[in-house]
Amino acid sequence: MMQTPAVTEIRYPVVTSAALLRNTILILISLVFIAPFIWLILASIDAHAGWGIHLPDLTLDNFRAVLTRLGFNALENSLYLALATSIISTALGYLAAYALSRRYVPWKHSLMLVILFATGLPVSLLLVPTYQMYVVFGWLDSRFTTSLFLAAGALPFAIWMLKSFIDAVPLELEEAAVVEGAGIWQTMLRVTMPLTLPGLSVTAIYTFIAAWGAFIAPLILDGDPDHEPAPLAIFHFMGNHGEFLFGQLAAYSLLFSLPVVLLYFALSRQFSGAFTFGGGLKG
Amino acid sequence: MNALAGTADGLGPPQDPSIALSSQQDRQSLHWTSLLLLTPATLLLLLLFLGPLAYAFYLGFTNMELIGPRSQHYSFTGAANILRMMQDHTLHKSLWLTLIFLVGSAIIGQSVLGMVLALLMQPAIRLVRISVGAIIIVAWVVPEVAAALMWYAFAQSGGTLGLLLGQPNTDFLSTHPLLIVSVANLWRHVAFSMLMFAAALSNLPPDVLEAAEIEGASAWRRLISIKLPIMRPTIVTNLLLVTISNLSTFTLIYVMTQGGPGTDTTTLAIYVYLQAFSFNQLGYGTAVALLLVAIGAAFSMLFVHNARVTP
Amino acid sequence: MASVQFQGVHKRFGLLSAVDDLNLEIGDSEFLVVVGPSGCGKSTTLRMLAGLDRPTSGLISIGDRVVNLVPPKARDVAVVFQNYALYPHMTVRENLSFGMRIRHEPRARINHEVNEMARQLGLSALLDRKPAALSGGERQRVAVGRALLRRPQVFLMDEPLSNLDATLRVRMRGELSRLHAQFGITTFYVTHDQIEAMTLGSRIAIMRGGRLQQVARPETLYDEPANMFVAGFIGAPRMNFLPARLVGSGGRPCLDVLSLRLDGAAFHFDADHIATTSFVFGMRPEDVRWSRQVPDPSWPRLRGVIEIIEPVGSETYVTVRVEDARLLARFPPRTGLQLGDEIELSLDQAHIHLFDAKTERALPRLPQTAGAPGNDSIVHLQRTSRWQD
Repeated sequence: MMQTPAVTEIRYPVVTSAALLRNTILILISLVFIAPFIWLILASIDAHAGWGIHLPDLTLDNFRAVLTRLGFNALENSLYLALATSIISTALGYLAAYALSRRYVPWKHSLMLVILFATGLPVSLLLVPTYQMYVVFGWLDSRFTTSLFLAAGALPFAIWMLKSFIDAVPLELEEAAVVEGAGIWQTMLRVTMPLTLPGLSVTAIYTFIAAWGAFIAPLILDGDPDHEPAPLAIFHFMGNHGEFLFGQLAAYSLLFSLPVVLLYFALSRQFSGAFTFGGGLKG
Repeated sequence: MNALAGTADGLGPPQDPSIALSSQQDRQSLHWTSLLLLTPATLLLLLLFLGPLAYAFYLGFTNMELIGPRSQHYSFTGAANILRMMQDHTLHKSLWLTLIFLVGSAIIGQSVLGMVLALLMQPAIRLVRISVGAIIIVAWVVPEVAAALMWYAFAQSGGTLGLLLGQPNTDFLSTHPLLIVSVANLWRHVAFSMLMFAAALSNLPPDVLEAAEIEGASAWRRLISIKLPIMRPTIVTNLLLVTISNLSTFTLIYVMTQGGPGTDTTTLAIYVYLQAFSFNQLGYGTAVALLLVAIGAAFSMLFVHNARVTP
Repeated sequence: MASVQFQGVHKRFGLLSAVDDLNLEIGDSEFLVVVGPSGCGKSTTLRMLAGLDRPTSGLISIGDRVVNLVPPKARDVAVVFQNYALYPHMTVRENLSFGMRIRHEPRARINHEVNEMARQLGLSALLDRKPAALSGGERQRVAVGRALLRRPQVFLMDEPLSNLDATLRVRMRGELSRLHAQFGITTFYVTHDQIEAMTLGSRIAIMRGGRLQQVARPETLYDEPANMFVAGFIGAPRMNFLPARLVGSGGRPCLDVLSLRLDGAAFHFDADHIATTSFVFGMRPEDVRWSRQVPDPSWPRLRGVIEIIEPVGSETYVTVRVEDARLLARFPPRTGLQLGDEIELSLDQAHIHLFDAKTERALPRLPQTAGAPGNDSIVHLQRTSRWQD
C-alpha cells in the first residue's frame, strides 16, 4: 500500500543554503583580495594619482612617461636576467636530470633529497659569500654573472622538475631507439626531448618568472646603474616621493607585472587549467 | 622487464627508469656519458651554490667586514659571533619578530586560509571558482616588488585600507608594521597552499566519502574525521614548504618598510642584509644567516619527524 | 516491510540516458541481482537507491515511503562498494565502529557488537590493522561487516567481488549467501558477471543501455529469455544464433534454418510476426548434440566440418562449420574427434528459441508447458517469491 504522489511532484531544491553561503563567502574573500590591486590599476590611468583611490582623471600619459629610455632599459635588463637565468638553468638542468633519470649515479637517492632541500635555502645566506667571491673574481657589476648566480639558485628546482618529467617518458621508447642504433645524444634529442617539451616549457617559464622578479641578487651583485632591472628601478622610484610620480609608478609596475601574469596563465592553459581552477577539479 | 610497472598490483609508484637501462649496461658503475651530462650543472652548482654555502659556514665565524681594514685582514674568530648574537638585543627582537611572522603569516595563516579556500572552492560554482581562483593566483604571480608596492599604497595614510576602515589618515605601516607585512605576505602566498590542498582534496577517494555519508556522517564530521586525516601527509608537506619559503622573505618586507619603523619589522632575513651591507659586518651578517638556516632546519626536522612517526 | 520499488525512474546525464523508465519491485528479504554489461545503468540505479544520485524523474520507495527527498543516511541502507571504501587512516575496529561512534552509542555496546561481527566474519585477529595491511578478501569482509553493523533495511552491493581473484570469489559468494540466509536483509546486488548473478540471486534483473530487459528467476531467464540480448548474455558458452525465415507450408508455420525446414507450430506468431518473416533461431550449445549419441532419429540433423576443438576437462566445446555458419556444441569430454572431421549434429527441437530479427524479442511458446504469459511485452514482471531459508 504505497502512497504515490504524481511523479511530477517531486521537486528537488535548486539552491541549497549551504551552497549560497559558500559562494558568498568566496566572493567576499575575493573582494578583499582585489582591494590592493585597485590602486595599481586606477592610479596608472590617473593624471593626478596619489596614494588614495578616487575616480581617475583618465589618461595614458603615465604609460607614455615611463616608457622612456630609462624605463625601457630597466625592463630590458629584467628581460636579460630572466632569459639568461631561464636558459642556463633549464639547459643545464635538463642534462643533469636526464643523467639522473636514465643512468646510474652513485648515491642518487641522497642526492635527490639534497637537491630537494636546496630548493629551500634562503638566498640571504648565499649572497654574502657570493658577493665576496665576486669581489675576488672581479665578477661584480655584470648582468651575466648575476644571471649565473640566479641560475645556480634555480638549478635544484629545475633538476627536480625536469627529472620528474623525464621519468614519465616510457623507457621502451628509448630502448627501441638504442636497438636501432641511436647514441645517447640522438636518443636524448630526438626521442626524449620532444616528449618532455611540456616539462621543458614549464621549467623554463617558472625559472623565467622567478628571475623576472629578482630583487636582492641584482641589488647586491650589480651596482652598475645601467644594469638596474625593473624591481630595483621601482624601488628607487618609490623612494622619490612626489605627487607627480604616483601615476607613473603605478603604470610602470603594471607594465612590469603584466608579462609574468600572462605567461603564467598561458602556462596553465597548456596544462588544461592544472594550476588554476578551470578544470580538472571534481565537484 | 618494464621498470615502470611498479609493485605487483600495479599500484606502486613508478620505479627509477635507470634501473632498467643500467641493467643493460654496466650494472653499478658511472658511465662516462653520465659524467658528461652532469658536469655543467655540477660545475655551476659547485661554484655558485655549494661553494658559497661552504664559504658561508666559514665566514660566519670570522670578523670580516665589507670595507676598511677588516675587509682584507680578517681572522677566524671562533665563537665570537655567537657570543655577540647572544648579547645582541636587536637580534633577539629580530628572532622574535621572525617567529611571529612565521607562525602567524605562514604556519597558521597560509595553511588555514589555504585549506579554507580549497574547501570552499571545491564545490563552488564553476564561474566563482575560476574567477576567485584567478584573483588569488594573480596575487601570487605578480612580481614581489609590485606586490610590495601595492600593499605600500594600500596601507599608506590616504590609502585604500584607511578608506575602508574609516581612518583615512592613518599610516598603518607606522602603527602596525608587522601586522601589515604579515597580512601582505599571507595575501601573496596563500595561493600556493590553496592549490596544494585543492589538489589533495580532489584526490580524495570519493567512495570513502560516500560511505561516510551513508553511515550518517554530517559534512562537518566528514571533514574532521575523514578528509583532514587522509590529507595529513599533504598538510605536513605544506607546512614544511611554507615554513622554508617564508623564512627567507626579504623583498616584500624590505621594499615596504626597509625593516622599520626602527627595527619593528626587521626579521632575520632583513637583519642579515642590514648587518652585512649597511653595517658592513660581513662575518656577523653571515653568522645571522646561518642562524636563520638552522631555524629552518629545526622546523623541517620537526615536520619530517612528525610525518614519519605517524603511520 | 523493507521492500523496494522503482516507479518510472529515469536518469539522464545531459543528453545521455543512463537509466530509462525503470519499473522494478523487490520483495522483503529478497536477494535481487542486477546484471548487465558495463554502462547498462546498474550502478547508477544502485546509487539512486542509496541516495547518492538523484533520479531525473520517477519515484523510489523503500518500505512504504517514497525516499526521493530523503538523504542517504536517513534511508536506512548500507552499501558495500566495489573498492570497499574503507577509511584508510582507521583501523579495522575503527572502521567497523565509525557509524556507531558518530551516533554516540555507548562504548560497551559498540565494543560488543564490533567484536561479535568480527568473530562472525573471521576478522578478530585483524581488528587493529589498517586497511593497507589487509588482503583483498579481508578488506571485503570488513566492508561487509561495516555494512551489516548498520542493521539496514536494504543492503546495496556494487560489484563487491569484482576485485577478488577467482578462488576467493567463489568462497565469498558462498559467504554472502550464508549471510543473507542468516540475516535475511533485502539485498540489491549489482554485478557484470552472469555466473555470479545466476548463483546468488533469487531473482535476476538484466539491464542493457539503461533499460530493464527482463526480471525473473535464474531458471526462467535461462529457459525463457525475453529477447536476444538476454539469451546471449545468460549462459556460457553463448547461445548459437542463426538466421531463420518463416515459411507457410500448408497452413502450418515452418522455419527455414540453413538447409533445415523446422516445425514452427510450437510458437505463437502474431500478425506482425507473419508480416516480417525474418527471424533468428537460437539454440544453446548443450542442445546441439552429436548424432551418434542421440538415439532419436526424428531430431533435425545437420552435417558439418569441425573447425575448433576446445577440451575444458569436464566437457569439450566443438565448433562446427555448417554450410556458411558456425555452431558451437558442448560434447562430453572424450570424443576422439579431430580437427577437420566431418560430423553430423542433431538439434534438440524441444529447446529451440526464436526471436524476431528486427525487434529481437523472443517469440513466446504456445502454452503446453508452464510458461510465460502470451503477450509480447519485453518485461516480465513476476510477483516475488519469498526467500526461503
